[in-house]
Formats: sequence, C-alpha cells, structure tokens
Amino acid sequence: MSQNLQTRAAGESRLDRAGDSTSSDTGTDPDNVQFELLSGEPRGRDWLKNRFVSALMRSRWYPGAFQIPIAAVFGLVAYQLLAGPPDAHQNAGTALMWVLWWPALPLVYVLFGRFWCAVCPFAAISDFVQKLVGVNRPVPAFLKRYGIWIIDATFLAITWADHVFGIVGSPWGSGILLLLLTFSVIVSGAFFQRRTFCRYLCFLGGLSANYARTGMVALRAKPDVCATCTAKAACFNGTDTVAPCPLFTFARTMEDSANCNLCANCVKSCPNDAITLTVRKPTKELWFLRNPKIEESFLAMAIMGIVIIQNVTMLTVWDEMLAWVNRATGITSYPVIFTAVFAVGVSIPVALLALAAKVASLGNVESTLKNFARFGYALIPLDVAAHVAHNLFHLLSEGKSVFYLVGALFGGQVTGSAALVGNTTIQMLQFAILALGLAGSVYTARRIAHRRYLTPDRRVSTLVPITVLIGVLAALNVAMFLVPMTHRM
Amino acid sequence: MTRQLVPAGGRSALRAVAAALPTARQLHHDPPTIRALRWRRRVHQAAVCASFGAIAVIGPLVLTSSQEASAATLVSTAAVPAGLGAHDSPSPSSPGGMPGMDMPGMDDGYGKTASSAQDRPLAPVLGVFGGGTSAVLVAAGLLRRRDRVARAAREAARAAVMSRT
Repeated sequence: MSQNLQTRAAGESRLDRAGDSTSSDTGTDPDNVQFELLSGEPRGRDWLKNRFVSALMRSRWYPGAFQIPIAAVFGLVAYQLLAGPPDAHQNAGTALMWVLWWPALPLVYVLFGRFWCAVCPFAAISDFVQKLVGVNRPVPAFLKRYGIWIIDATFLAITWADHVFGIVGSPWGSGILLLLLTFSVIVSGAFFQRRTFCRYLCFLGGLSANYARTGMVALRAKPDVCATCTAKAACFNGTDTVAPCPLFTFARTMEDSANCNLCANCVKSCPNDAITLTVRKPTKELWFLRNPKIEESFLAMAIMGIVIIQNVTMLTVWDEMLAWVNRATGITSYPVIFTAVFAVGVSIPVALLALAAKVASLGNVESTLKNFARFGYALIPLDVAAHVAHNLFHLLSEGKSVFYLVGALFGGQVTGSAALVGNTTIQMLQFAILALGLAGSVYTARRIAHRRYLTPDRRVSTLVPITVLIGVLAALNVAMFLVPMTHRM
Repeated sequence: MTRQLVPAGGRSALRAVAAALPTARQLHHDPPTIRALRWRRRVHQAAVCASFGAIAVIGPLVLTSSQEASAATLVSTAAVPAGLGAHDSPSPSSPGGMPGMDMPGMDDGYGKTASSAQDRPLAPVLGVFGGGTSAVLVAAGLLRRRDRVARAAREAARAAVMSRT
C-alpha cells in the first residue's frame, strides 16, 4: 500500500502543486484522481432571491450608507487620538478603537466575512484619492507575488512596535499608526488601480482574508450562467455606472471568500443575475480547500503566535518573567527582552505546525511543505476563537468605558464600573469560544484529510499529529485564560 | 517607442493635439440617466466631505466644551470611569517600575503612558503628513496629466494612420 502511495500522478492536481513547486515525484496517486473528481463547496439558498436582500445589495446607497457614518466615527477617533487627552484612560478614541472596534472585528469576520473591508474608511479614502488624482497604474508584479509575505511582516512589525513603542496603550501612538496607514492608503490610491492597498498591503486585510474563510456569508457566481456570458467580465471590469471589483476578484472563478468584501459591485454589474449570496456554516469553506498557499498558512500560525504573545504580556506573571530574565541574563532593555520573547512566541506555533507536518508527511507520503500549507488552514478556526476569546475580555470587562468616554465628549458625566459582565462570566465565555474553535479546527482537519486521502492509513497518519497540535495550542490558550489578565484601558 | 508617436513640434504640438481632441462628453452622448448618476456620485462625495468637515469643526468645539465643563465642576476624575483604573483582576506591578527596566512607550504600565499633551509634536507630525500627502497628490496629478496627453497623442496618431489607410 505504502509503495503505491509513494508514487505520484504525473498530472498533479492544483492542490498538489501548491506549496511545493519543486516536487519531483512521479507516478500515480489514486487519491489525486478522486480529488479531482470531487465537487466544490455546495451552495445553499440564494439570498439574493429575497426581495429585501436583493434591494439592499443592488441599492446605490450600498455600501456607502454604512461607509459614511463609519468614516465620521473614524474621523472622531483620529481627532481624539491625535489631539485628545494624552492618557488612554481618558481618551474616547482609544476606547472606540481598542475596546470596541478591534475586539468586534473578528466577530464581524465570522458573521459577515470581509464586509468590514467594504465599509472601511481607509477604502473610502483610497477611492476618493483615486477619483481625484488616480494614475491607475497596474499592480506591480512583486506585490502580486509577495504581497501576502509583506502583510505577514507588517502584521508582525506592528505587533512588535505596539509593545516596544506603545500603540494600543498610547493615544498618540495609535494616532501615528492611523496617520501612517492613511498615508500608505493615499499613496496606493494615487498611483495604483482599485484597492491595491486593501488587497496586497493592508495587514488587517491579510487577517480578514484568513478569517473570512470561516465566515458565514459567501458570494459566488453560477458557473453555468457565466459559461454563456458575453458581458466581457462586467463583474470584474465594472460598467459605465458600476465600479469594477475593488479587490481584483473575478466572480466567475472565485472559489473562496478571502478576497470578496461583499461590496456587491458584481451583483450590480452582472447583466445575467449570475451572482448568488448564500449563508453557510462557519468554517465550511475550509472543508473544501482546493488551492492552499503556504504564506496563508504561515499567517494563520503567526496570528496564533501573536495572540499567545498578547496573552502572555497581559498576564500577571509577565512581570515575574521579565524579572527572571533580568536576573538570569542581566539584560535590562525591555525592547531586547521583548524582541526575544516575540521571536520565540511567533516561532512556536510555526515550528509546531512544521513538526506536525513533518510527522504527517511520514505517513501520508506528501512533502512537509504541502502538509504545512494544507493543514495550516485547519488551525484558522482555533485562531479566530483564541483571538475572539482574548478580545472578549477587553470588550466585556472594559466595554462601558466606551459609553462613559464618548458620553463625556458630549457633556455626559456618567460614572461606574467599566465591566459589562463579571470576570467569571467572561472566563466561561472564553472557554466556550475556545471549545468551539477547538471543535471547528479538529473537524476542519478531518474534513480536509478525508477529502484529500481515500485510504484510512493516510487519513489517520495525517490526522493524529495535526489533532495533537490543535490540542496543544488549545490547551496553551486555556492555560493562559486561567491566569488573571490586565486591562487595556 | 513613444518617440515615434510624438508629432513634429514636440511637447507644445502634443498639447495642441490633445486640446483639439473631443472630450469624453463630446464623444459620447450624455443621456439623462448617466447625468443623474454622476450627480448622485457628486452628492455622495459631497456628503463624505461634509462629514469630515463637520467632524473637524464640531470635534474641537465638543472637546473644548467638555474640558471647560470638567474644569469648572472639578470632576476630572468623573470623566474617567471609576472602573477603568480599578481592575477586577489583580493588576500587575508596573514593568516600568522594575529597577533598570527601560520600557519606551510603556513607562507607566500597560494602558498608561507617561506622555503629556506637551510631549506630542502634533504640528510637526501633521506638517510632515500634510506635506507628504500633498507631494504624493501633486505627483500623481502630474503623472495622470502626462498619461492623458500621451494617450491623446497615441489616439491622434492612430486616427491619422486610419485616415491615411
């Protein structure tokens, strides 16, 4: 059996090509043939047939009606961060940004995919600049090729800078971050087509692309209708009255929600009503993964590392750890210590996945890189759960501060506890969310393995190391949520 | 490649050719629906600009009034919810307070930076941001203009070739 499995199909499937273009395996893999015959993600009920949903998505005010108030709040946040009270405890911008918006964001991704990207004020700035002076140069080839790696690096750099220079805890630092992002968006909007920044450079876009795969809303085209389309890719290029797809996604060939922000431009421009909007189970898209990319798996693991670091640095034992490092090494510089901890923290999940992929490769006879690329996606549900659980603490234990501080801006003088619920309730919710994430990850890994491999041996030898990895990372998160955590505000 | 497309007389002739070309409005008829859509788009853009403008004007007024109110009633602590500083969970001792610990940006513990309004170089930062943004916008504007002139010249050259054939 294993000898048969060691041979590879000459015409490898797209999945097999992914993550390891240097594979020199030859031969026939019966699982490959079966994999190619499998259908894609099944579609549910088309919500665009609902009159209300259809009218909403086709309205000329969508998504602008959401974008305008959000841009207004964003302006207020930016003003508060740059010119408001210097103390984070008194700054409404800090409360709105880090206690309300940031914790709510992963929940939005799970519920509505990348909808935030459609109403993001930075996207509005980019569009505005483009109308004003846009040169509309095509996206540079290096961005198309390495954009995700740039996003990975930017995300890590911003997290590092947050701890070393103080971004979340400092309104001024957060304001500078907003200015830098705004400037980058203006440069991108001025010189490049559509929303190049959102698709290829935004660190949040990378995060949302990964998280949107777990999203419950999916927009797809009907292949049978598209096959007879003569509209010259109106869904991609737009029409005289409708803008083109801002994220460079061709609805006809779209297989995932990573680069769809539900802006509904394709819905408005399609002359054949070929676009569907379906509601699905969370994480379902990951079960039918066809084209895994190693950089996206890496980002998933890096995010896991970042969540672990964010947790560790907010634990009450963090000071003791710093003191211990101080005593043991004599190093007094916080940036040096944190950089070392950061490097180790981010490397741990990546290294653990690499180890699990290596062990799995011994059994399923695929390369470590392919296993890394494919099963990194299985960790995304746990990623999202850990992220939501971490942020839930801030949202629920400091949520009222948003009302107090925004109210104070308008003359309100309400005082009281900032906590929306007690610590025990928060902890219970955190564990419940982690349990959902754990179940989602294990189930996703199982679905991916069962879809990819027909033989029980290959499935088991793949699932055992991956499930152990998922369990270890979940246990690590549970252990951290058991220790008391400090507040953001 | 592009040199072949530039007519004799250089850049000024190029501009003259571009100016003589019909505008998009002249080329395509402008049905009422498209005109209406253009107006809607303008209204949309105006609404966004108005929102930003309103924030820029109202924001400082609101902030000033709330600061005056808090100063008058000596409720500076009331603006800070009691629960904000009072952690339910045990709060760690400040890492910045540890002997020899150098923690830029986190001098006063997480969530509390020691910077004051005077420490924030708002004017220079906004100046750099505004200057950089203006430079980008001007550069992009010039580039777009050059592209349009080149495109117009290309179209003129193509039209000339077509008319000759």
